[in-house]
Amino acid sequence: MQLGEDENYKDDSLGENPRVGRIKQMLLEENFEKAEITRGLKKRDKENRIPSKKRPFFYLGVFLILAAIVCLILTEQVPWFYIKYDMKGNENNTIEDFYYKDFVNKNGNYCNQVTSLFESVNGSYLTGLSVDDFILSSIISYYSFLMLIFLGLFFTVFVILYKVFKYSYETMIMIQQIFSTAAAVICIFLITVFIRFVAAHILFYHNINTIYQILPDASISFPVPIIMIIILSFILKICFTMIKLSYRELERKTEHSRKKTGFTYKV
Amino acid sequence: MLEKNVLNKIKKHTNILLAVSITSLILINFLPWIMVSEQTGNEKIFFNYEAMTKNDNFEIIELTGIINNIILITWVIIILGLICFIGLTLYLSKQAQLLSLLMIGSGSIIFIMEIAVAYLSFKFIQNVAEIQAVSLAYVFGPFSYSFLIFVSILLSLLISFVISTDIFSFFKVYHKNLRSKKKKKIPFEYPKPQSSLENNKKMFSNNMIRTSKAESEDWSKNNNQVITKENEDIIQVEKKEELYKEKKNIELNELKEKKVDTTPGETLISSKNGEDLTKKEEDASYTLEKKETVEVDDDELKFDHTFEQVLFSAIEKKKKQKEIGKKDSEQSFEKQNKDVGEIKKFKVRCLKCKNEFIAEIREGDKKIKCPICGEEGEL
Repeated sequence: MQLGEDENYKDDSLGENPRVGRIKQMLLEENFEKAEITRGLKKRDKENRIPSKKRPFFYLGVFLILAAIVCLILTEQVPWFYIKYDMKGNENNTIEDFYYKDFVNKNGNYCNQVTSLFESVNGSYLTGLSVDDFILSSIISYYSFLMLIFLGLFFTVFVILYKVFKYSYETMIMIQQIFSTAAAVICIFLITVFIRFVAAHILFYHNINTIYQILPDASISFPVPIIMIIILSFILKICFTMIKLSYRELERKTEHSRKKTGFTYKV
Repeated sequence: MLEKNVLNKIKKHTNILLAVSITSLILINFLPWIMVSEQTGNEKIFFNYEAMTKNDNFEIIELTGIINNIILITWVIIILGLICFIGLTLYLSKQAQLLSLLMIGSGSIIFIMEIAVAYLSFKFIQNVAEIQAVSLAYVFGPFSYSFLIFVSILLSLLISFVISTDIFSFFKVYHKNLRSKKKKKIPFEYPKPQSSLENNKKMFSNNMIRTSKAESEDWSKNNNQVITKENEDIIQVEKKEELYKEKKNIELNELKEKKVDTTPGETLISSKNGEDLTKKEEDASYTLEKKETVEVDDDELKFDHTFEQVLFSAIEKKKKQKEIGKKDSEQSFEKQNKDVGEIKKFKVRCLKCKNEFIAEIREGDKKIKCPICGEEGEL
C-alpha cells in the first residue's frame, strides 16, 4: 500500500475479460471526446457540425429573371414558324419562309397561301391552329414572362430583406417554396400554351393528305415553341426541385434536432 | 415518428400525382382526340383539342365541352396538389398549424376530382361511340390516343385514393397525439428563462457569497485570537474577585474576634451599640464592595478597550478584504465573460411540448433545457 492509494479501490480490469476492458476504454474515450466538445476545449468535426444557415437555392429569383429575359429575347428574335412548300403547278419552285412573332415574316407581311393552312376547310382546321392563335400566344407568353420576372424580383427583394433583418429561416424557406410553386404554375400554363404548336405539328402529319391538296410537299416546324417548351421544362424541373428541397431542408432540420438534440431551432 | 412517416408518404404520392396530372394535361392538349371520316371520300381528318374547339359541328362542340371540363378539373387537381405540398412544408415548419392542416386536408378533395375526371373521360368515350362518322383517334390498329389519356387519368385516380388514405391516417395520428398531449399537460408553471445579464449577475452574486464564506473563515480565525485574549482577561478578573473575597472574609473574621474579646458590660454597651456595629459592618462591607466595583469597573473598561481595539482591527481587516474581494470578483467576472465569449440568443422550439422560448447559449456549452417539460438537448 503506497501513499495516496485508496484502500477501497479495486482494479477490476485486471481480473476481467480483456474484451470488456477494451470496450470500457472505448466508451471512456468516446465520453471524453464528447466532454471535450461540450466543454469547448475541442471544436466539432465537419461531419458533426450543424449548418445553421444553409441556403438551399436562394438565387432562384435571379435565375427566374434571367430565364424569363432569355425567353423574351428568343420569342422576339427567333422565328415562330417555318414552312417549306412547292408553288402550285411549279414543282421546281420551292418556297421557304420564316414567320416571327404575331405571324409576320421578314418583309413585315404574310403570304395568303400559307395562311390557308391556318384557316378552316369545310368548317374544320387541319392543324388546329389559326393566325389569331399565333398573335394570342405571343401576347400571353409576353405577359407570362413578365410575371416570371416580377416573381424573381420580389423573391430577390425577400432574400435581401432576409439578409438585412435576418428573420426566421423557416419563413424564408416557406417564401421560397411559395414563389417556386407560383413559378411552376406559370411554367405549366406556358407549356400548355406552347404545346398547342407541337400538337399542330403532329396533327399536320396526321392530316397530311388533305394538306397536300392545299400546299404540295409542305413541311413545317415551330422553332420558338419547341425551344420554349425545353426551357420551360427546365425551369419547371428547377421549381419542383426547389419545392422538394424546401421540404427536405425542414425535414432534415427537424429530424436532426429530434435525433441528436431534441430541439428545433431558428436563427 | 409515425406522423413523420405518414407525411413522407403523402409527399411522395403527391409528387407522383403532380407528375401524372401534368403529363395528362399535356397529353390532353397534345394528342388528337377524335377522327372524323368525311362523307365525300375515304379521307379521315384528325382533331385535337384545339381543332375541336374551333369546329362548327354541334356534336363536336359537345365533346369539346367535356374535354374543357376535364382540363379545368385537371388544373384544379394540380393546384390542390401543390397546395397540399406547401401544407406539408408549412406543417414541418410549425408555423400556422391550422392553415397547414387545412392545406393538407385539401389533398383529400383530389380523389373526388379524379373520380369526376375519370367519369368525364368515360363519358367522352361513350359519346364518341354514339356519334356516327366520329371515332376515337388512333394510328395503329384499335389502340386509341384517348385511351392513353384515360389510362393516365385512372392512374392518377389510384394515386389520389392512396393520398386520401394517407391523409386520413395522418389526421388519425395527429388526433391521437393531440389527445395524449392534452393528458400530459402540466398544471403548474415554471419560471421564465432569465436574460443573460441577469444570469451573469446571479453568477456574480454566487461568487460574492463564496468570497464572503472565505472571509468568514478568516474572520473566525481572528475571532479565535480575540476569544483567547478575552479568556485571559476573564481569568484575571476571576482571580481578583477571589482575592477580594478572601480579604473580605479576613476583615469579617477580625470583626467577629473583636466582638468575642469584648466584656459583658461592654456587651450591653455593645447591645446598645449593636445597631451601630451592624451599621459599621454594613459600611465596611459597602466600602469593600464599592472598592470591588470600582476596581472591577476599571478592569471592565480595560477589557472593553482591548476588545474594541480587536474589533476595530477586525472590521478594518474585513473592509480591506471586502474591497480586495470586490476587485477580484469584478476581474473574475470580466475574465469569465471574456473566456466564455458572447452569449447568443436563439429562439428555440421544444419538440416534446412545442413550446417556444429564448435560449442563451455560450460558445462552449450548447446545452438547452426546456423550461416547461424539462426536455434536455443540444443546439
